[in-house]
Amino acid sequence: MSSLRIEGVSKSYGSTRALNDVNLTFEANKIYGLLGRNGAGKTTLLNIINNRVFADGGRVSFDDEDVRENERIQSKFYFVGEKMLFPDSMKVNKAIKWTAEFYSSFDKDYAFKLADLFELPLKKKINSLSTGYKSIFKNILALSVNTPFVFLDEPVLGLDANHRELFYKMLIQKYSDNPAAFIISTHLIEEVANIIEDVVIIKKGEIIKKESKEHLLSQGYSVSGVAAKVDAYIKGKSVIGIDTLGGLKSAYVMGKREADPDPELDFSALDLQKLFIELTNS
Amino acid sequence: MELNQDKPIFQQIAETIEDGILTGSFKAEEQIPSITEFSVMYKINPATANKGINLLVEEEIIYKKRGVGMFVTAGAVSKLKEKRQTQFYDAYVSKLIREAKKLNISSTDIIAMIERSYDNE
Amino acid sequence: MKKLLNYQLSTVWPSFLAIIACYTVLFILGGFTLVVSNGSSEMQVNGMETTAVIVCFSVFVAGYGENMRFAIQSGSTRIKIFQVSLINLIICSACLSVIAQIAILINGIISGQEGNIFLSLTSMLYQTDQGLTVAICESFVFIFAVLMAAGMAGIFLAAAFAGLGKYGRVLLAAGVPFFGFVLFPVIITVLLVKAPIFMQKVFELLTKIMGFESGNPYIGSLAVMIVAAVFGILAYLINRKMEIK
Repeated sequence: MSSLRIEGVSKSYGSTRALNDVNLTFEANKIYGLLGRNGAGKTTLLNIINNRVFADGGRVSFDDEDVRENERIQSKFYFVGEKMLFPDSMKVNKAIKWTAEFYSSFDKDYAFKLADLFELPLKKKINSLSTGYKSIFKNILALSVNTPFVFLDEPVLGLDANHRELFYKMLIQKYSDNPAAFIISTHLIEEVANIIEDVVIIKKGEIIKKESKEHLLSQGYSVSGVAAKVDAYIKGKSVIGIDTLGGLKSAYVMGKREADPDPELDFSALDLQKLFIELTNS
Repeated sequence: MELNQDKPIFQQIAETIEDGILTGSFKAEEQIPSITEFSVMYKINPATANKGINLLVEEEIIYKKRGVGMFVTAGAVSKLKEKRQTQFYDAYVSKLIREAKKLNISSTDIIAMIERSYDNE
Repeated sequence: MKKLLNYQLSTVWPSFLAIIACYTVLFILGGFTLVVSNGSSEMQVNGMETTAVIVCFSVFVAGYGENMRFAIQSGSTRIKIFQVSLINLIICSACLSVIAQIAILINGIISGQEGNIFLSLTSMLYQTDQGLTVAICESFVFIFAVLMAAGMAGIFLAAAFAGLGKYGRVLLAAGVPFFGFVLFPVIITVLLVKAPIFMQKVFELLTKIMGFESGNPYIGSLAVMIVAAVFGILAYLINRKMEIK
């Protein structure tokens, strides 16, 4: 199966370095979380992969071919960014029709079924949809296109709780039925944490973590209890964050748990959102 | 059934199925929901659900029939009871003792509590 | 890619129908043709041709950016988009030119001029008098060239607009009309006064290039096509590096 390889990619906008020497591989048929704070560089990376913007240096390849200005490769990717590139006056049903024309694996029936499920008005102009329904529209296209790689940029932006749940369920169902690589770029980590298999964390244009979620979370733990006891425990350990509440302290530690620790200390696994916050705080 | 942060998800999935078998929701030789159904239900990655299921397959609690689905093995109930009995001390009793000690409840008190309530629960 | 071409043509089609509809309406109103034919038949004769040029320019200046963005969204490449737009332009120019000739012919027949029923811009500029078929042919080719140039100019402006930053766009949006309607006429007037001999030479050169001197519309068409090609090359160069964010 072909992987998407990103080698030494850099991009600057004027004096701002949006991406700095990014090295990354996205494998087929996995659900990835591309996690980063606002302005970290997620969208720039997605734009470069999807031929919207050109890297200053480095190479993005798929099947050992450069993806830049390569129609054969680009037809295997699907991406609708925050800024939608559909014509102003285009209606939802026309957009579905034309996307189906351009992507032969697009499942129109499925798309219309989803539109019904999400109550997306088909005759409305795309630009007149609310933020939430714009996201739903983009998600429906992404779920129906059946290309080997699908990129989702903030897919639940503006979605109410019901639609968010529905989206996640449809995504998992689709991934199970038609495996593909789904790369979900988001800063809303809690909900997506259980769905992703691999994690890529991007901070100020650089990749700081790229591994399986399981491996990442197993590399650390949280220890809480009376402040003094916690302090004693964490001495000499690699602590990535601390929360204090009165006399209680919680510390987030990278490394292995000691055997037979103080029974008055509470240990628990790291959760992805907490880990993300601690890693990306400046 | 809600997922929590205490244990790895795949373990929680395995335990949910085990509970289902022990309570009789999933009977011997009966089919259990598919990996996809579990994934969608709990909103987790199918690989995670698969990992939980595979734990049970290894322990011969569940077996997979190619092209059909996954089934509860005959004798799964007794296997599970045995396993849980072995784990009972670590899973419940040591925690009970630790918490009781925090609250200065003596072992005599604990035993009394248990004897009082055992038949009623 | 044929799909891309299908898509572009589908967006252009409504504009075409609009022109034909407008012209049909005017034609049916009838009186318009007769009234104008007496006083200033030249104006009515060129109406369809001017409209076609304006429409061609507008369709491409307005549509190119949108088409480009949607094509990128659909996995195409900038080069492909440019190529398809070019084909699109050729088809549109050919069709519009045909429509223009038909309109001129109908007009000529209706207004009932003696002898000459085909009064087109081309026949006026080049004063050829070699029969109807030749006149229509020459007119078709010349208008086709002008339409190509107009469309290409539209594409170039659209590409320049998309490729420029915030300030560049304001400059372009204000600058082009300003240049066309103010600066250019002023420069011409000043030159006419201050350097009449130079302007005379320029005028002679222009006449030669455009084939007015030799009365050969094909030379003029070629000159106009070269202008189209220049716009095209510039548009292509801007196109290649364009970032779509």
